[in-house]
Amino acid sequence: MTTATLPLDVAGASSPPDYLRAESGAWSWLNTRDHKRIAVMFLGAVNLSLLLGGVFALLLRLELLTPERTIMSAGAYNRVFTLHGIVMVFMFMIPAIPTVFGNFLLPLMLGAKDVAFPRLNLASFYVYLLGSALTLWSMVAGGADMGWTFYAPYSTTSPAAVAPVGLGVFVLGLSSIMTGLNFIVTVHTLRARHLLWHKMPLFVWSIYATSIIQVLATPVLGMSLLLVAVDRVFQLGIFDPTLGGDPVLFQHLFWFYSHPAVYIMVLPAMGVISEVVCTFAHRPPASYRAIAYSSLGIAFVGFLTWGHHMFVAGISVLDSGLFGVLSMFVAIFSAIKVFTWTATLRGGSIFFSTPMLYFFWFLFLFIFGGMTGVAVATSSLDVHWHDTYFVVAHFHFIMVGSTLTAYLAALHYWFPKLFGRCYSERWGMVSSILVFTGFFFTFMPQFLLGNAGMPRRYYSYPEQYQWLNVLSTGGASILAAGLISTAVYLAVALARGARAPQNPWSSRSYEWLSAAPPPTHNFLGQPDFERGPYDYHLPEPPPALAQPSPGE
Amino acid sequence: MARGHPNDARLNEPADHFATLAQQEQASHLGMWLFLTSEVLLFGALFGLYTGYRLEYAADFAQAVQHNNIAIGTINTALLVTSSFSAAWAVHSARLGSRRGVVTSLAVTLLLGLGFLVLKLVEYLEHFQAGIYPGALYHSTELPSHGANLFFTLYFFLTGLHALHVVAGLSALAVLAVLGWLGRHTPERHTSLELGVLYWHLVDVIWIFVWPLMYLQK
Amino acid sequence: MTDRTPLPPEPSVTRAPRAGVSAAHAESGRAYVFAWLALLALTLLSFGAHFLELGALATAVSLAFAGLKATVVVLVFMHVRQESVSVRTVAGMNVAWVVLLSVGIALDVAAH
Repeated sequence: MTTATLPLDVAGASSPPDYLRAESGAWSWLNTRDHKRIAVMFLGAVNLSLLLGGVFALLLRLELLTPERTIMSAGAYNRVFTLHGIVMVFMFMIPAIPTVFGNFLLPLMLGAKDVAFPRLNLASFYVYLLGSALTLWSMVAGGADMGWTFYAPYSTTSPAAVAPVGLGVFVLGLSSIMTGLNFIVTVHTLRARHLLWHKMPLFVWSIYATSIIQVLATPVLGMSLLLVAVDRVFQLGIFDPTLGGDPVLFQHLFWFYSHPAVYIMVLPAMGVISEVVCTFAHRPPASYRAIAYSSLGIAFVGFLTWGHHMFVAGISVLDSGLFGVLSMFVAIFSAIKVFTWTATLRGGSIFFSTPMLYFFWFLFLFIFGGMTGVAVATSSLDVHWHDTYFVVAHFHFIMVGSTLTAYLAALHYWFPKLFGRCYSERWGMVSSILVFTGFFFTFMPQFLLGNAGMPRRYYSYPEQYQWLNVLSTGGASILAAGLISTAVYLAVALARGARAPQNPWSSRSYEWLSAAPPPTHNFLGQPDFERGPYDYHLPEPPPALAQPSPGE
Repeated sequence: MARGHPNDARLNEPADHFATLAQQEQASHLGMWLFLTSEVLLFGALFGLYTGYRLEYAADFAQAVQHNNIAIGTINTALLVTSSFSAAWAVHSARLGSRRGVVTSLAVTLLLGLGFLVLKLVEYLEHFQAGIYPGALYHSTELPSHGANLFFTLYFFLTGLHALHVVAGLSALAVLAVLGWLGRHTPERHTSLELGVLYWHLVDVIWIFVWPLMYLQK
Repeated sequence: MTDRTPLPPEPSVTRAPRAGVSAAHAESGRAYVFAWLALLALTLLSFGAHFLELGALATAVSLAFAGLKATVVVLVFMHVRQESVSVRTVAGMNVAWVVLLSVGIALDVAAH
């Protein structure tokens, strides 16, 4: 095994085939240990989940076009919003960026050949499929209508098929824990020589922080849903008021996970943004440590705030006050990141493209989403806004406006790396504008609706809310069009796009040092990372030269 | 020759993506501890529930605790703690290269673990006879309160889940005992034994906290 | 213990190489025996304390004994002292997170 003097990869006749072509046949994919293939399989799966969740969303928005029944009954409506939430949160938002981009990029960014436990990685994919199947089976078995939050006592007494959904989410949680565990161990033990913690790309820090949350928080969700499922099947009654149970205790367990869960959803997105900003501004981050440590800060402080979802559930004033204050602290870390990203742009040589456009949407929408988060964390204000469309708008600004936007940025930014092809920038920009416009008109009206008093999860509403609902549905159609168009031109690029150069964005980050797409073992020999990942003051590393492979 | 045979030169080589065996073993240990952490948090949720209900129903809980069989509970604690000792001794034996030590220690651990389960079963049957069941099936006349009902629901769920983990741990240890008998745990490499025994210690630690909460409050 | 040539500087594994390689494990079993006896003694003491009239302190005392016993198991049987800093940090975080959840719930229920 030779080291630093070798070029890190070779192109040309004697180079190893890329990971997509290294082996063929379905079994070589289904039984792969290669983190890159696993990432691509996850890509297919989470995109399907996004599509399904999106279809549910469109159905909801169609129903809300008129104040009374439009296309479905009230019972059907409850099932649709429940499954929209569950599919989007557990089958898309939580896994997407970590399982696709985390899996693909972590070893590349660390100079490793694979993640620490490749078979566990493959298993996590099948566990994800099993969890998804269980969850979706409930759709045909009577649906679930208690909302994605599973609150007792309705979840334990509803006639709908709550138990399979609860168990499905439990299994999805197992997949999440497996992923997080794998990534933490990978970062600790598989960094290349010279790759100190403070030279890792910032995306790795955010995935690492996310993984910590996944391991610590998910089991508590697992237990809360297990208790609901067991209660339904065996009448455990642990949250049943008629047996002396306390439904608020369910909420404590549920939100102990589900608040940190929103950081599982947003931290990887922030990691993507850090990479995109530095590459397209051609500058190192204004403060590497600020971004790296604020990721850890969010992960840890995020565990101290769960009670802000329960301000009106009947918790004590003491607990309310504490959680309210602690919730404010989390915002500080997000603000640090926003300021650092913005400062990074200053003096940079900004190069405009689809990923960068998504960054600008992200910045605008994340600031809105974040500030409204601080607003609802203020308990005296939340009394008015809780369970209204104000909260719905707030979290969609973060989930769609930030995480989905960053996911799209990542898809475009790393598309050449994953597939060795270029997508059409024109289509990219146009679709991106559609996505932003659609998003804005879907969710901005919802702040107004919520503030005017329209409750969430309501099937029917008073006449005066109709025009804002119509506007919101209009926006949703545009958003859908933007997303569908994105899927189409990316698929076309996959099949017929121009061959991408190794480093189309002239990034200095480590994943661009290997071929596009990379060979199965990522690098030849043991890479040597004496440079930093943001050394824009140094010339770009030369692309792979055509040289005979030294008999690897 | 088969991988894992004592003369197999590949025995002491790391997997393809690790540079050295030490690196791989560090990864295995950290990975195992992270898995144990997820188990601790799973039980932690139940401890959290217990905390909430205990504060809500302090008097009922105190009464219900007294109804638990403190003799069985304490003997079970002694059994598990001793089984942890024997499991640790198995790893110690592997480090010293004593195949007999490994197998005997694991056999003792298995026996102690089975003893624990038998006593638990006896306890559960005692409870059932007194009308003490989890959840809606509860019909004790001696302790009819909601608080007592909730205590026992938590008791059955917590100790039941723990017992499932005991079964899982014993199964793993049984497999490891067979591997030990085949000579697979060498002084240079006995990672699977270390990891399996770590799991067993976790099962013990969880019980160490279950015992005071379920048997010792007054 | 076998004699080994020193390994080349390891990528990212800078802590003392662990299991299987270090000669430090030519250990005696004494530590395990003492730990076991300590665990039995602590169990007995905890059992005894149960019969004292400790009132409000009873819970704290029984949990303190449990904490001590768990510490013995973790430090001696689970070899946490020989493990890396990462593992030791993870072990500590277990305790902290369970306490966090219980405290958050307690502050709600107790202050009602």
